[in-house]
This record gives sequence, C-alpha cells and structure tokens, in this order.
Amino acid sequence: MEQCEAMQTLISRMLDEDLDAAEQRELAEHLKSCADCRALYEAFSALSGALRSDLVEPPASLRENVMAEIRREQIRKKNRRPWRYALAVAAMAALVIGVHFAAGNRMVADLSQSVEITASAQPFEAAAGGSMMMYAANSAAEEESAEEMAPVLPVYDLSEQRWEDFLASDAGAQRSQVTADRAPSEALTSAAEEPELFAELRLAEGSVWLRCRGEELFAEAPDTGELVALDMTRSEFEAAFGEALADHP
Amino acid sequence: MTREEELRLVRRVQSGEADAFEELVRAHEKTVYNLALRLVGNPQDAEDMAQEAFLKAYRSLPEFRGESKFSVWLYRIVSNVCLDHLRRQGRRPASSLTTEDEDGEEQQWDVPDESRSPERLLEQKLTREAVQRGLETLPEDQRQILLLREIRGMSYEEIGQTLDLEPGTVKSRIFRARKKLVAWLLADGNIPDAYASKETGKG
Repeated sequence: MEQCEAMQTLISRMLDEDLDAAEQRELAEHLKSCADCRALYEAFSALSGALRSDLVEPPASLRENVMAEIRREQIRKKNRRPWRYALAVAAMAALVIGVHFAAGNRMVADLSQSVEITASAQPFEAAAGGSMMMYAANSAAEEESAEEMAPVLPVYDLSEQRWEDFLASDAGAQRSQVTADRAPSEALTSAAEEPELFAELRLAEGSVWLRCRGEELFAEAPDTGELVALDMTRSEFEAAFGEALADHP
Repeated sequence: MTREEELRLVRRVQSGEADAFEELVRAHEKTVYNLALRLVGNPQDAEDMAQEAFLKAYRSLPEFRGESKFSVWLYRIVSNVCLDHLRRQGRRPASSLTTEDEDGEEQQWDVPDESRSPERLLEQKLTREAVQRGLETLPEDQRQILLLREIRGMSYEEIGQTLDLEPGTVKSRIFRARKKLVAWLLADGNIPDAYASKETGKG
C-alpha cells in the first residue's frame, strides 16, 4: 500500500521527534485504523529502546590508557627541546674548535656530519621507545586477526625497503619529513577528514597504511601517524608496484 | 556539559593543559565506547578503537576551531576509526565470531539456529545479542548512521554534519536501516509478540 509506505517513514521520524503538529495528527489518525503500521511502530520502538538503553560502562582502562599516552607525549615533547638546544651548542662548539686548529677542518666536517645524521635518525628511533612499539604491537595484533579472514585491502610487499628509502624513491615525497620537533604542516589533514584507506604497504620496519583521496596518495608515517603526501598518483603507484602485490592466502 | 563548557575545555587543552582533556574523555567515553562496541562487535576491539579515536582527537585538537560542535567533530573521528578497522579486517563472515552471552556461555554469532522451535522463537525478547547480530548484517554505513542516532542521540542535522550528508539522506537511511534490521530480527525470531504474531498469523 502506497499510503503505508509514506506513513512508515513518518513513524521513523516520529521516533526521532522530527514531526510537526500536522504530521503527528496525520500519523495518529492512520495508526488508529492500520494494524500493519501499528505493528511496525511497536517493532521500531522496541528496537530503538533496545539500542538506546542497553549501554554498558566503558572499562576504566580506557580513560587511564588515553591519559597515560597523552602524558607520555607531553614528556616526549618537553624532552626534545633541551636535546635540540644541546645539539646546537655542540655544533657551535665544533665550529669554534675548527677555527682554532688547522687540522680541525676535517674534524669539524666529520663532527657536523655525524651530528646531522643523529638529528635525522632521532625522531624515528626515539619514537621506537614509545609509539613505534605501540604501533608495532598494534600491527602485530592486526596481522594476527587479519589472518582469520581474507583482507579486502591490497598488500604491497616492499619489505626490502626502509621507510626512508621509500620516501626517497620515485614513489615517495619530495619534502624531507624527518625533522625533530615539528608542528603539524599543511600536508597533514585533520583526523576528522582523513582520506580513505587504500592499501597496506609492507616495508622493512613494518606495515604502513596508504590512503587516497581520488588520485592523491598519502602514506601514514609509521612513527607519528601523520600523513605524508606521495609524489605518485594512485594509478601510477598501482602500475609501478603491481608486481609487488602480495598473494592472499 | 554545555557547548560553552566544552569549548572552554578545548581551549585549555589547546593552550597546553593536557589534563583538561580528561574531562572531555569523561564526558564522552560511555557513548564513544558503546558506539564502537556496536559497530565492531567485540569489547577488545571496541576499547582499542575508542582509545585510538580519543588519541587522534587529542592530537588533532590544535586544528579544531569550534565552528561545529566538539561532539560532531569527535564522532566523525570515532566513525572513521571504526570503519577503517572494519575495512582492514574484511567483511565479517557470519559464522566466525564467538562471544559470551549473559550466562557466561559462549554463543556462536552466526545465522539463526534452525533447531529452535517456532513457539520458543515467539517467546524470546529482543535480546542484546540478537540486536547485535542483526546490526552486523547491515551495511556499515547504515549501521553507523543508526547507531549515531540511537546511541549518541544526535539530531538529523548533526548527523548530516558528522557524515557530510543532507538531512533528507540521513532520514531515509535511518528509516531503511530500521526497516532492514526489524525484518532480520523477525526472520531470526526475535521480534516482540505483536509484530511477530501479525506476520506469522498466530496469536
């Protein structure tokens, strides 16, 4: 019955308090005489009631873990700055020493080079203490549960490459992403507007999620979870790395 | 918590007071957790999803400007986190999960057991377990929109903002989700007597 179809949508909206006075009267009249719609109303009500009232208490560990992680991140942020300052001092000292000693030129070059390498490696490895471990633990857990059912997302196996190599390759990002103590850049999108999951990329350190928005491709940085815009488009990536697709069991 | 109070807390977190975030967590943890629980189906994953959502919200908080309600913004993150999780796991096969029901016995979360007698089916109430099973037969976007309405209690407009949909689309999707779920529950034998007897011609 066509009339009932229209009435049924009114029933749904009534449960959500979306009817005006006229619509309410219309529906009330109809329900008086239509047993089918009355039955549907009862069913919808029962369902609504079950969903709304049947709430469970969240475990205490939820809030505790969230706040513990937040405090850890705060400490990490605070500790980075003094370290960076110490670096700057060491670099300055090295330069000063170099000026005074003839043989110091080479020493300064070596020292500043090793200082730079340390600087670029630091965020990744410092993160290894905290979120990388959590990340590794999470992806281990994800891989475990993913074994129970066939994954829908394609998996690209580039496990001989490290994250840094991938970024430096044709696929990767022009921008250097490896700086200590950085503020959220333009490349990042708010978690509220994340591009869709596209594929899993297996690298030497572990798995990285690739996301796409149309042809734009992004990678989730393993240490921070921040999104890195990739140089290749989605189609280019699929064409270039098609051979690296892992077979699903 | 009023919108103003929420906004004040957000500003405090944005200016460096991480502890203020705990108040926001307290205000939303119950609905976030229950939303996740109904979406992903088991407590362990639900806790992980809720945790991940709160942490993502905290890390993105510098970008939140207060133009929309904090809860709309938060629940968009929650929905995305849960849907990502479901997509990564693949489509859930009907018979793969077990969970404990209220008696502590393990329940197979699969297609209705044929060996139950029709009389017993009619007597059954709308149990949490049955509703959850039914929810999992819904496509994810229908599941999500129904839960945002029922568990979070969001208005059609707010849901539209959260999911980037017109209110009209929101209304019809909710209606279709309810209709589908009710039909499934009926087939499963878990619908209130009045409707069941109407359909089966008994009583």
